[in-house]
Amino acid sequence: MVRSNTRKRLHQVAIYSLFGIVALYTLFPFYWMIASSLKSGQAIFDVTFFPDLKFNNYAAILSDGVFLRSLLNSLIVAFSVVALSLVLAIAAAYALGRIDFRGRSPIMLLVLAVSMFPQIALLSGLFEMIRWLGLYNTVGSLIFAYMIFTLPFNIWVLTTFMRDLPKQIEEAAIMDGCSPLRIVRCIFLPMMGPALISTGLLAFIASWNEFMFALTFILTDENRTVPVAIALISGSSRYEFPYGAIMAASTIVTVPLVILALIFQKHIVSGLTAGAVKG
Amino acid sequence: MSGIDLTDVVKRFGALTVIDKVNLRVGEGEFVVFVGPSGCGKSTLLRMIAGLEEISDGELQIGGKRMNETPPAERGIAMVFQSYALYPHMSVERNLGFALETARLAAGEIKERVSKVARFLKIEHLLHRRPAQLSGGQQQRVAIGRALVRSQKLFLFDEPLSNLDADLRMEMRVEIARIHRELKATTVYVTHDQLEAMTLADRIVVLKDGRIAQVGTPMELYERPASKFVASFIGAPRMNFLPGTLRRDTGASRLEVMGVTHTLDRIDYDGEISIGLRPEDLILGGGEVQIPAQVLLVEPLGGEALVHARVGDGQMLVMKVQGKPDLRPNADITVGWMRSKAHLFGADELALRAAEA
Ligand SMILES: Nc1ncnc2c1ncn2[C@@H]1O[C@H](COP(=O)(O)OP(=O)(O)O)[C@@H](O)[C@H]1O
Ligand SMILES: [Mg+2]
Repeated sequence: MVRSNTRKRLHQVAIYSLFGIVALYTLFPFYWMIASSLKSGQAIFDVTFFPDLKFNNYAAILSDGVFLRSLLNSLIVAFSVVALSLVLAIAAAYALGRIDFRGRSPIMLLVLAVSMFPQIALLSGLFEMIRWLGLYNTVGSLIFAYMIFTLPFNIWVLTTFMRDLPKQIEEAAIMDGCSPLRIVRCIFLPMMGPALISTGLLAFIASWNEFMFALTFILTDENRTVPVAIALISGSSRYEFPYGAIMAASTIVTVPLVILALIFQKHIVSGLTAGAVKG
Repeated sequence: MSGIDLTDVVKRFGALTVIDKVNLRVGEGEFVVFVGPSGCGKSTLLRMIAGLEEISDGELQIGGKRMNETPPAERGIAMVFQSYALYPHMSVERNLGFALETARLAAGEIKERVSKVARFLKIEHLLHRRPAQLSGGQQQRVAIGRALVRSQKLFLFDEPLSNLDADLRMEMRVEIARIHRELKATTVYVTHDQLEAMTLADRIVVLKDGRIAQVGTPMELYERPASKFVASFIGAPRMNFLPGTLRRDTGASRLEVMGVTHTLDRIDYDGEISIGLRPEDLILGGGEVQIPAQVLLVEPLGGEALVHARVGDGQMLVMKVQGKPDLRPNADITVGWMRSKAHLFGADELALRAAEA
């Protein structure tokens, strides 16, 4: 008894210290970012672990019109991408998951293949398309570009999810007099809640964080999104690098993601695994 | 106006013919049961009536009107599915009212009709639960309620009780019989359980490989099965079959079975046949025709017992007897039956009947 009790305790100690190491490894950069953002001026170069809670970096960055504008642009782009890619992916998933037609599996494979292209390979072709569509240097160009990687993934996940919804429920709805649109809206979508939340959230995060397209397709400051805007923050002279402001801006940009992840954390995992069980 | 007429109805999936020229008439208010082994096409035929499966050929009429091209919701049908198919994200109340909601009825009227059905099915206390919070039997009641709430004149059931355990199945069988008695709606009910078919049906339709093997009242099918297939499907335990030889004579036929020969009314047939004997028609140590047998096993069921016996060179028989017979394995017995209770089937497996005098 005694032996097994000590073994059990050792076991627990091992688990918790491992957990502690992982937590430290993943959370320390965040902590450092937040701590640095709360230091002012030269204090940022002192290695102190406790910030002095000065908010002047935040005051500076929040009175910076260019940064606020880029925050707004990012929100517009991310929400548009989420809305558009969900609507399109739901329509595609209904067709691919519930309707029998020839060429369904080649289309699914194509969708999967497209989602595996490296971004950099698409860059020049996409650039031409965006110029041709007259979207260069608009937030529209980014919405268009981000759909290219959010859509295939969303279609894939939502299709596997939609396909596994029971056939008899659909037929019961048909007997109840529902049109296909009403079946999708009132029966399927509520049943797919977790999948919609997780795909929507991933689309949001992807568009919120994207850097390369945002750098390439946008020319002027007033159309930029935050990742690029932060990278381009500069000090008052070329010899000053405004770490404090950058850290404050980064913190502000991280907050929406953390809030979203906390609100929906329960659904994210269930949404992704439920669709993924049968490939 | 809710009678059903099927005329030469055919269903093909690609090259595969699943329903082959079925003709059937279901009268208004009648309770018709489709039975048959798994894969014989019961569900497919039901789904064609519902409109969930296209009709490849032939005509379907409901209430005297052609319905082949009519969408399911406009056929005046309510259907109950094997898996209940309740909407998992809606409360019981909303499940019940969803069809009315879809038809854009006023909220007050929906509520009134839902609560009337809930009272009728004794599920009022469940109205605010989700389907996942209900037992199988309760879910089935809700599924039936969802069909009732639309007050249609035609009900379709596809194996509604097969997911329930034995006790509940009996309870729901009685409930379905009550619903039919009170509402008098035309009902088509699919099952592979012959007991459900016997107890519920006004008429039974036995299907085999997409064709109708026989249609009749439960007693007709029990007493005068048209083929060996129907005979072995209806009745439990299954009918016993013994090989025999029928010889046509002037004025009479002579039947030889297990070395015993007896005469029958003249049947226009000569050759090898199969003699079908129901377990409950066999008599231990009595009857007009008697053959020797050996006891293999006695299964007491309480008030009655099943005696498994061996006759001839390895033929098996099951016999149902009252009480608990005092028989030991390997005991020698005689098994007998009344001539009128024997069902004779020719080489084509169709029933043989005495020529009408
Ligand atoms: N959608 C379909 N495509 C191809 N074959 C089917 C389809 N649905 C049913 N079948 C076939 O039709 C036959 C009858 O099926 P079904 O009506 O479900 O039988 P039952 O309900 O009597 O068990 C089966 O052999 C089945 O394989
Ligand atoms: Mg079936």
